[in-house]
This record gives sequence, C-alpha cells and structure tokens, in this order.
Amino acid sequence: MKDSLFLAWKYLQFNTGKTLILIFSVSLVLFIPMGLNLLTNQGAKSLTERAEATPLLVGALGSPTDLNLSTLYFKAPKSDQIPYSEVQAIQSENLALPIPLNLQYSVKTQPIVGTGLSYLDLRNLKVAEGRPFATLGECVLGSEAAEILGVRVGESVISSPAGAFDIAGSFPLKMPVVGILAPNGTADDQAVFTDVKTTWVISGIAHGHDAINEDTADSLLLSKGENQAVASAAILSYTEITPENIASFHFHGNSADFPIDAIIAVPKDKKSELMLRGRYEAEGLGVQMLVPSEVMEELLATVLSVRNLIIAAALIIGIATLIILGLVFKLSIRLRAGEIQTMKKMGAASGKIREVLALEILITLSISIGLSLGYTLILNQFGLPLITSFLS
Amino acid sequence: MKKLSLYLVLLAIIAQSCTPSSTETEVKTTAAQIELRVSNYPLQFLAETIAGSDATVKRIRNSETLPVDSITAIQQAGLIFINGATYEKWTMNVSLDEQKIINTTQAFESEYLSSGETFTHSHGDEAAHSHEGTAYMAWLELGLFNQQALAIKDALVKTYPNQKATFEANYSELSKNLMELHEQFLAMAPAAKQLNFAFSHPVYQYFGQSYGLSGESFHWEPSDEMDASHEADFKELNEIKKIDFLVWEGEPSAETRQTLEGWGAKSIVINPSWGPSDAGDYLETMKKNLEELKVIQD
Repeated sequence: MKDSLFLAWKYLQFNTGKTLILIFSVSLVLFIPMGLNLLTNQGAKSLTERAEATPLLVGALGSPTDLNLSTLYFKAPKSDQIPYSEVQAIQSENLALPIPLNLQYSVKTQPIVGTGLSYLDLRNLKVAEGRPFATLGECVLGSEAAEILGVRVGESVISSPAGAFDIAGSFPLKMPVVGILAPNGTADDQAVFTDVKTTWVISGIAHGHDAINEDTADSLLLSKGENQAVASAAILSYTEITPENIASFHFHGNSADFPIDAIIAVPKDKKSELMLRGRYEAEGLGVQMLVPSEVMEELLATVLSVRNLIIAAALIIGIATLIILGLVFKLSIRLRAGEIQTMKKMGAASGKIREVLALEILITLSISIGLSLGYTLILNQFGLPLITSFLS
Repeated sequence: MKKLSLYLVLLAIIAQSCTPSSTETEVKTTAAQIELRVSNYPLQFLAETIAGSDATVKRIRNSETLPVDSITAIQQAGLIFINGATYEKWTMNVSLDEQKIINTTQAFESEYLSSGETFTHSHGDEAAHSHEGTAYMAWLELGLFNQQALAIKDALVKTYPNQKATFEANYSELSKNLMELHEQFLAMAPAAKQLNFAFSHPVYQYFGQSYGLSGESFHWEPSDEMDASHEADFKELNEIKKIDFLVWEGEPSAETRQTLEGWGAKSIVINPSWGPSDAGDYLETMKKNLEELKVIQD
C-alpha cells in the first residue's frame, strides 16, 4: 500500500497543474451547497434569536414582514406612524410592559432609536462607559456606532436631516453622548439610543426658545391677545439642550397624539399575552399586533425553500461535475496507456496498477474535501460579518 | 432487585423534595429593600404610612431641571409616585422607566379642576389657542387624597406582593383616619356655603369645592402688609360679593388681621401642607385646619 501511495502521490506531484485544477474545482463544487447551507442557517439563527427576544410588536396596519424587520433592525417602517396613545392603552390594560420605538431619524449612517430605559433592560444592554441617558437630549451609543461615528463619552453627535428634500421637516439636534454600550453582537451595536421625547424634539413637536409672555416684543410675534400669543419665525428654537435651557423646552399638543413607529410589548405572562393578542385581533383597533418569531418563521420558510432549490441545483451540478471528473480520469488513463504498459512490463500486477490509479483519485478527492471543509470553517468564522458589512 | 427499586424510588422522592421550587428560590423583598420616590410631602406621608417606616422614601425637588445625579438615583427607585394634574415640572425633561411612575391622581383625572386662564403661546403654523391651567392640590380634599393613598397601596402590592398584608393593614388604618376627617370637613359645608370667602392664593380649588368654600383668589403672602394696592384689590372683590373670611396659607401678622377685620373680613389659616407643620405630619396639620375652619360656625 505504501508503495502504491508513493507512486500515486508522485504522479500527482509531477502533474501539478492538472492536480490543482482538479482539487480546486472539486472543492468548490463540494463547498457551494455546504457554504450556502451554513450561511442561511447562521442568518436564520441570528434572525430567529432576535425575533424570539421580542415578544410582541404593535405597529400601523400594513405588511407584517416590513414592520417586523424594520423594527428589529431599526429602519423606519414604510407604513404610517402610530400615536403614543397606543402605548398608554397597553399600559392601562396592565397586561404588558409597552416600550415605544421612534425610528425616523439617524446620525449619519447610524439609526437613532427613540425609546425608554426599559429597552436597554429588555435587550440586556450594559453600559460599558458612562451611564444611561437621564435627561432630554442625551444619548447612549452602541459599541459599533461609537466606532463608526468616532465619538467618545463627553462628546456630541448631531441628528441628520430626515432627507435631502426635507430640510425643514426635522430639527438637527446636538445630543451629548453620555454612555457607550458593551458589544452585543446584534443590531443594537449600530444604534444611537435616546429617550423617545428627544426624537420628538428632533421632529419639532417639542422645542425650547426664549420665553414668550405678555412682555415679549411685538416684533417677534404674529399676534398677541390677553391670554395667548402666536410666535413668528423670528423666535428661534435652540439646537442643543443644555442644563441652562432645558427648562424652556416644552411640547405643543397632547402627548397621546405624538408619533412613534412601533411598540414592543412584553407580556407579564402567557395568559396576559393571549389576552392582549386576542384583544388586538378581535377589536380592529387600527393597528396590528404581531408575534415577531412567527412572522420571521414564515419569512425564513420562504428563504429556506429558495435555499433548498439552490442546494438541489448545486447538487445536480455537483453530480454532473463528478461525472465529468470520472470522464477526465478515464480519458487520463487512456492517455497514460504507455505508462501503464511500462508498469506492467516492470512486473506490476493489474491489481497494483488499479490500486495506484484509485489512490490518485482518492488523494485528489480527500484534499478537495479537506479544502471545502476549510472554506466552510472560514465562512463560519468570518462569513456573516463580512456579508453584513458588505451589504451595509 | 425489588429492594433496589424501592431504594431508587425513595432516593428520587428525597431528591425531588430537596430541589427548591421556583417560589422558594424567589428573592423576597424586605421592607428595608423598598426604595420609593415621591414628588411632594403629602405623597411622602402616604408612602411612609403605607409602606412602613423601614422603607426608604425620598422626595424629588419640584423644579424644571433636576441634577443628573438625582435623576440616576431616581432611576434606581422601585416606584416613583407623582401627583399628576400638571404638578410636576420635570417629568417631560427626564428619562425614567414609565412602568415605575405612578400618577396618583389618574383615577380621578376627569374631575380635575381649572386653576384659571394661563398665558399660552403657539407658533405661526399652528392654530392660536389658549387654555386653562389645571389645579393640582387635590391632597387638600381628603376624599381625593384617600384615592391617592389607594393608588399608592395598589402599586406597592403589585410591585412587592410578599409585603401585601402589611400594605393592606397600613392603608386600612390610614383610610379610616382620612375618611373620618373628610366626613368632619363635609359637615362644615352647609355653614361654609352660607358665607363668602377669598383666598390668599389659588390653591384651594378642590378643598373649596368639596367643603363649601367658594370665592376668588389673590396672590398675597402672609407676610404682606395690607397697603393701598391690597385694599384696592380687596374692595374690588368685596363690592361684587361681601367677603366674610380670607383664607391664608400661613399665619398673617396681627396688623394684617386687624386691617382685614376693619375691611369686614376675618382671617383663617388653612395650611396647604407643603411640608410638615408645627402641628405635626399631614394628618395633624389637617386636623388643625379643621379646628381653624370651625371658626366659621361662630
């Protein structure tokens, strides 16, 4: 056996080019279905974990998948916003903890998540540096957001305009960074977290300015009566909330009407969850409640069925490749007729010759399998983060 | 073999009974671990009475800005009791867990009274509007104050269920005292309705409505000397309806009392219970207020 192995190895070594081509092509053919399976499983696992960690979601009527993915990965849903009164309604039911989310704004490429301190508890997000936000205007950054934006605790970030054609639609606000979260390995690492009330300041629902009262100069007002005044654009809003001006910040309108994108509802127990879901399904309340893990399962079922089709295609291609490989070996043996004759004349038995040829195929296949496993291990380690950063 | 099986079964039973159940491993909060925050003195009185003296109850300063250290300390509290009815100036400027904030007047928010017209503003793109302010001193009306006590008790029971018996017992005793006093105040209403009052400050809306004291308000301090402007304000109201009694938040000077009696009005002091008084805690203060009010029966 050892001598056959030696001969087989030396043949492969001598025909380096041909051997390498065979090894890489076979390894790739074997890797494609394995790699695809691994990536989709990893992606599915990550999506499923995030969805399972979110008990219930409430949002505007529309696509459940859009609401689900937008909320879990901090993109403003395409559907309308819902009023804050929905949070108050859930709170008054006493069946679940409602956590509001306002996802309309960003700091450059990083989403601003307007929420409450309960969100940090829900996701078990720990502050690695500094502290959680405490007053209007303060923010806490995910670990990657801090790196990408290049800010530390004690510095500030400025909210970006909502869109290139919406310059007057939101009010850039300078927000002091009071904390940076420990890495979490989820979309939370990318976000800028602040109180939902701060996002209402960015939207212009709340603002601060110099006091408007009976003594305000008429040049700054459009009209003034005994008990009310209408301010003109000459009254400028503050673009930064400081300890000196925070007392001047106020809201116009009823907080029940203020907009948010979604609510994460954390039920007290299974019975409360069922009661809450039943209420939202039965009463046609103008909003939808969904179970993120169920919506994700449906989405993944579609993705996995597509994956299965691709794997089936890859397998067919693989089988075809192996058949062609068989043909290559057969043709190769024919081309080596002289070499085989020489071996016979040297006294090699037919069995021995077959052993050498078989070992050549075995060595090629073994190295190919080893390489494809190696590719798979590398993909397991670096694949998902590389693809995520490529896509973002 | 049979003996072995018996031993295994016995072992399994012993192992099961030794395994702590989920309720046995639950950490039970003791009274000393209860940390509460309140937004004013009357709520502090309620929280301390119901939760017991071992619980830590701290008052939050009612200003538009709170120091960050205070806010981070408040964030650690188990429950935060607020008065509501627009009393707190800081709620929209701070980040707190909404679940921990208990609005003690929410149960009767449909019964909120107005504190009168306030100066408001809007901006060019909004409709001009004015609105009345909301009166917040419901704690002077003992029936409503009892409802605030109930809200505190319910929140404590929900959050610290292992202390339920203590909270229920304390609330029961407190409620009995509050309602007894409330009945005594209500008994004054027929006499009060025969008279006309003026108030040194507009803080008696709920007190006045329930206990029969009606009238207009000035913005006078007990330390004010009754000068020409005070006299003019007094006479303006007196001409509309004769003022029988002026209700003060604190003791006016003897000269002020005398001057007002010269104008035809007697002075009584109804302490609004911003804090503990010389009489003692909230309950003692209100008992003293009742004694003071009995003057109107003479």
